[in-house]
Amino acid sequence: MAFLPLLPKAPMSSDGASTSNTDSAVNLPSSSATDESAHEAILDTETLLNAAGSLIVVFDRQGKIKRFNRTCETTTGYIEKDVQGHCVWDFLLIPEDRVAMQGIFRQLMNGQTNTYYESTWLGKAGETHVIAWSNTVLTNRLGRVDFIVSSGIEVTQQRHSRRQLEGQYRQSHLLAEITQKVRQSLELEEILQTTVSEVQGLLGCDHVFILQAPPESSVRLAAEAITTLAQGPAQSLLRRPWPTNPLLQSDYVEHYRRQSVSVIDTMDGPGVAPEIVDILNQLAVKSELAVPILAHGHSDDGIKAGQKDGFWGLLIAHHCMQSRRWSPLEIDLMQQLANQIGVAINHAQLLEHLEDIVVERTAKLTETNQQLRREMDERLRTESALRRSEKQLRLVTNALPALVAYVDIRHRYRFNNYAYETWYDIPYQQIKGRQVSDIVSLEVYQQILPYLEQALMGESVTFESEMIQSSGQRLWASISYIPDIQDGQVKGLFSLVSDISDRKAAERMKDEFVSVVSHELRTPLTSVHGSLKLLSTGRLGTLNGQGRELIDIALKNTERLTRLINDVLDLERMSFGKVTLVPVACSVLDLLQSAADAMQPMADEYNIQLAIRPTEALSVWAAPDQVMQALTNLLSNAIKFSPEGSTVWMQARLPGKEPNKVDAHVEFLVKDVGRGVPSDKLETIFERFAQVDSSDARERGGTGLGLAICREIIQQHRGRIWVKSIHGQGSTFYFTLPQPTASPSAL
Amino acid sequence: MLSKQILMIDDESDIQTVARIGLTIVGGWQVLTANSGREGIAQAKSHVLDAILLDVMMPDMDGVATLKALKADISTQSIPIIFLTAKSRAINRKELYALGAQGVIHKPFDPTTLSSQISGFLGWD
Repeated sequence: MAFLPLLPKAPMSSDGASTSNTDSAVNLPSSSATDESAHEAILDTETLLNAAGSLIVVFDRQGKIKRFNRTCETTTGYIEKDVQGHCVWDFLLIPEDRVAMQGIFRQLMNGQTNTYYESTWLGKAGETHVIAWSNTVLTNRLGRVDFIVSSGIEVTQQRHSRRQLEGQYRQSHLLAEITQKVRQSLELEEILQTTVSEVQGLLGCDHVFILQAPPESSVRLAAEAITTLAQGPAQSLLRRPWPTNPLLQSDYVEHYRRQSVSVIDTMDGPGVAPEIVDILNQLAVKSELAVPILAHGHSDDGIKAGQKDGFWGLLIAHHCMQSRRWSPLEIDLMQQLANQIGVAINHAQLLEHLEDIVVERTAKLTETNQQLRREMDERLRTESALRRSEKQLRLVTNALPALVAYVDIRHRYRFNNYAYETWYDIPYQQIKGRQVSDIVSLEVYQQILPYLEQALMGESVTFESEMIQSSGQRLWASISYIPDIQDGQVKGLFSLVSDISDRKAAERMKDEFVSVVSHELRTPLTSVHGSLKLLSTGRLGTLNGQGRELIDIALKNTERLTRLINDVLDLERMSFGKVTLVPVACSVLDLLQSAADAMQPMADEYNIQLAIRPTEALSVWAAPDQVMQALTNLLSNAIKFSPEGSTVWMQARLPGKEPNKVDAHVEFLVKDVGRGVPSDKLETIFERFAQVDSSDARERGGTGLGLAICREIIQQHRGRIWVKSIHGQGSTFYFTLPQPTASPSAL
Repeated sequence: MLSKQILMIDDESDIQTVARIGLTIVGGWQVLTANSGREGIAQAKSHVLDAILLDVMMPDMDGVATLKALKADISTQSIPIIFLTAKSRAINRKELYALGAQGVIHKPFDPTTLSSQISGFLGWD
């Protein structure tokens, strides 16, 4: 690279060694006539002194210059006469070296010889020369220093070159360092700060800073390095807090936006734009070097490929102490640094963008993760809830002595409780998945198969069956199969099997008891009733009026006893479910007619008309004997409580409201115009031994159980029975019975 | 019309008496009695009978067993048998008929109509 030397334009040799003049020869003094004397002239001190290529100065004891050779003269521009009698530190040395020089002189006077040092001289024109000196002291016989001979070589250029090299080296190093940092570090702030600090040190200027000019907001000081040596008003202005700092005014930055590098060596020079003159003067800036930093624009939708670099900000160096020239090397360094900063900014933006993306993705991932976790938790909770409920189900079902199971449509067990273990002597876990026919005996399977199939067609069934346990023990079981219907399809059935052997045994006992009781009660009654009956015929002897009356009374009461026994036993057996009603389809008309026929004798006796009102040809699903019993009971009551000569009506019909409803019951009625039922007794009248008043039973010969039996019968048919009555005007007793339906169901 | 000869088998002597009086006074029939199934079978074998009135509930050999025995014996199997039962009305009837009985009369019965009931079952007059 080319460089401009900072020294006056004295001719230099390429290797930088100084030469006193263009001549390589020194003219000998012209006083010598012959060659001999010319040779002797060589030895003349004066000639030697002035022939020497190096600078030679002779000092006396006080440090005053005695001799100042030609090289000195040509180097400095002073002639010997100018400097003789002066000390070197008077004006020859630069101020900084003067004290040091005096120290060295004292050392020399003390006898230290051959010191080597460098000092910088000021030439007459104010230029500086760096000279490397070596000294010799001349002492007298007594050892006292009389003179000091200093011999020096100008090394200015060398020093300069070395400083330049050093500078270059430092610059390269700085550039390399910055570049490396840019490549390695992602900390933009760090990079910016390092740059300004290093540059400030390298260039040796007062103030290096970076301004950022974001597109939509105000100028911002991104990094700053201020020399600690800066004194005076500049310092305080620099330190002024932004945003009042004039540097941050937009016109300052705007000025540079359209420019490339701006070099201001001195404020007085041409090319200093008037708009920034004020600002710079405010800050007492004497020299400025401003380099634009180009980077990708800020944009919210990220970095676009191939986006043109835009103006990001400025890298600026200010020198306030005095004007200074910015060397091309320095300018180049700044540009390179600005480039690196641009790269760093791009990296930072890219990183930020990437970081944003990462943050976004991470947030999304976290959210997804959380959602997953929530779903998992949900599922775990559901599963554990399921497990808990299954566990509860097991707890509950295992505690039951009954068999609880779920059988699928292929007759396989899908769930079974613990009780299976005691019934079938198989570990209950081993039943799952096996066929029902594997578990139960063949006999039992044949028994239950039709019911299984019925349930799997969608119909609940309950039945009783005698089964043999694995121990050989016989037991009675009540079995219920309930179909499991999902979405209109049968998926399986729930099976409930309970041991009713005890109940059966109790029933059997009750059965026997009832048989025995009925037999025991009826037996003596037969004798009593029979005897009285025979006596009353009169064929075994006649009795007088009172006698006949008494016989009649006795007979009547034995008949009442008989009826009572019958009714009580009937009721007990019915309410314990012993009487199994076997329903068939019955013609309603037939029922009514049969009942009327059966009660005709009694009606005749009481002088009552029995009439059947027009009835449709309907059918009911009922046990005919029991319905007959109910009808005759009602008719009996109606006849008993009707006034003589009146009529008792019977009818059966479908109730008016919903005649076409599939499961509508047929409504029967028995109507009389007797004395009726008080309104507060309309419900209680159906209870056992309930009478309207106490005189009834005795007078009318009723047992008090007739209506209770009716109710029991009707309820066993799943019907209803009730009475409507106006006390004193008559009653109508109603009951309902189901019609035959398409699918049979056990009552 | 010849008078009928009826055997009544019942372990209750009072009931026997009531039935006997009823059948003789009202029906004008002849009545033999037996206190147990075994005695009844013996009687049936040794007499010409038009019908047997047989009580269901008897100790030792009950009515059903007695009927089976009578039916098993060629000399007695053609004698019509009518059960007398103190049990409740509904169930037993079918079972009893299924065994070969030709009638079932419930206790307490009316002795004054006993003969006409029996005639009705057996199609006499």
